[in-house]
Amino acid sequence: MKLSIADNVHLVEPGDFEPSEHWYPRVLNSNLHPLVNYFLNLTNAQIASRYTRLHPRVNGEKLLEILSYKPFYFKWSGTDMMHVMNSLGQHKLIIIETNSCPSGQKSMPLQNLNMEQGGYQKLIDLTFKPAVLKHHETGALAALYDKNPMENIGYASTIADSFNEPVYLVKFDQDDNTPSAKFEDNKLFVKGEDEEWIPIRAAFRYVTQQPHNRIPVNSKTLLLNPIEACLAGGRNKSEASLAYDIFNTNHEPFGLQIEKPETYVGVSWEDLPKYYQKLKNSMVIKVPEGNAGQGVYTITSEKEFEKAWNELAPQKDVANYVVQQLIYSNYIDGVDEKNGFFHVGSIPDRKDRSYAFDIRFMMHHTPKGLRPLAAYSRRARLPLNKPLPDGADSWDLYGTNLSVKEENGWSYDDARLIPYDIHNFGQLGLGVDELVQGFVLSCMATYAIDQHALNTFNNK
Amino acid sequence: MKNVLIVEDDAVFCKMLSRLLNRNGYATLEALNAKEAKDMVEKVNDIDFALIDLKLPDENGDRVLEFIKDSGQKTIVIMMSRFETAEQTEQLINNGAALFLKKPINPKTLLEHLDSF
Repeated sequence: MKLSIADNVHLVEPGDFEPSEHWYPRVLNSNLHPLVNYFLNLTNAQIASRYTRLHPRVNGEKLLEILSYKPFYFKWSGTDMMHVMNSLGQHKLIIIETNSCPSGQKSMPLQNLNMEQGGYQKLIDLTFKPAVLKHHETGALAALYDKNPMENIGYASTIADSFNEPVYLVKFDQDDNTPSAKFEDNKLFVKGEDEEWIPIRAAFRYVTQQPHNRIPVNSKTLLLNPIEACLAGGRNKSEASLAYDIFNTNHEPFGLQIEKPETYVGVSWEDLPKYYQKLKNSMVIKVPEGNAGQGVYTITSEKEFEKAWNELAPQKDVANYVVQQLIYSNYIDGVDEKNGFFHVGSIPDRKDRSYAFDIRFMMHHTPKGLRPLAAYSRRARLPLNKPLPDGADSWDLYGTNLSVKEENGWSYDDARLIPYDIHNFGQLGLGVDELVQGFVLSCMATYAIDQHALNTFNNK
Repeated sequence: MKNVLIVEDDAVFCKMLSRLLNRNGYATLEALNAKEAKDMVEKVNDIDFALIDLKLPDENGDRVLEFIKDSGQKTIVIMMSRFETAEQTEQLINNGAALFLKKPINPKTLLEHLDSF
């Protein structure tokens, strides 16, 4: 490795991968839960067959077609889901968000102990490399990122090993006035050792903060993922919701539905109070292009509504918001018995604390269709079934994101991470059937956004 | 175990350097700007080496060099930069730096230098 060959550029070379640098220590030293391993070894045909047993109205052939889908844009995706219950006692997973630069490798125990690079290698060898080999562009290889160096250095060094050539690891921040990466005539260039601009034929891309401000559509440099995947819903919650709605309309005859909380898009700042009343004084407001829990407001009181309302006021003339039904912490009398949801929560610990948690699936396209690549959960800071302490707000009860924005960048509150290992998976109360449902939901969301991207960008 | 203070505003570079040194038997302290570096010099009194980027966001790295020298610590200071002139290098050496390393930094070369002191 050559460190700092230009501002925010390092040259990663074959042989640089160090496992201890690309996993959380507690994950590196853990063993995957056998039930999760069993699930990961199911074929897509088995999964489709099982799903149709769980959802008898579903057309199995159509489902298998979706699981076998080859995305044009969205070849690598992440989904955040919640395990919810209605007052009739029916529980299911619902989708909260789909992400086109998902984190997850550092939180996933190795499935095969002899495969040292684990999921990093699967993604590079089965998804990135085949696409690069078919892509007729000249230049070097790069990994562009603006967050999550632990995983991105891992990806860069895996690419270096897989291709046996050096990889430019480049930080591409939105507020960098002199970035070391640029697109010229839709081709990516990065700064080299002598300040020269190096053309790039393919890049792994983990740029999460307003990436469309500096990455063009129709990139000549192959990008995993291209920006189209972000714009069509991978990094835009309004577009994602639209993509799910289109999918649901088209697939209703096949019994397939992307389950999500009741969602309203394009809500103006002035209209937020109407939705606060409509949703009975509790809701979630999301800035469509927010990321890592930023720009998400859980509202459970007048005070929280006013706080969000005031914080959003400066952008009131330019921004529209996504408003969603809140998934309640506990059962509440009077909510819609079928479509009012509350968190199932984790298995109570010995102090009787049960926490809201999410389920993150990372998926990728492979020769065998869409496949799960990593899975983990994150819990909220405070338990669902205890009174909120003074000074705490509802985000402490519902917010599961681990990213913490600090003065010098991002850090992670990884104490709330729940890896799917022998020690931790059991506390979630999930079984193979929930993992099957989560995988199918994730595939449908990925399919929906890719189709939405195709319809949006291929017609222009 | 010898202590190394890394003063570098590129957080990834700082982390990578830190891990490289940890793997090779050094304990590390990380500072992303001159202020953090000075605070650490005040709090920790047995810093064996300091690797200091010349270009920091709040002050030039040579001010950190000066601060370390004024503190009376016997820290061996290595300055780093991608841009330097012979005049600048000479000035830094005159001010107490033991070495000037031009970026990019080759990990093997850095370890050899640290071992040589």
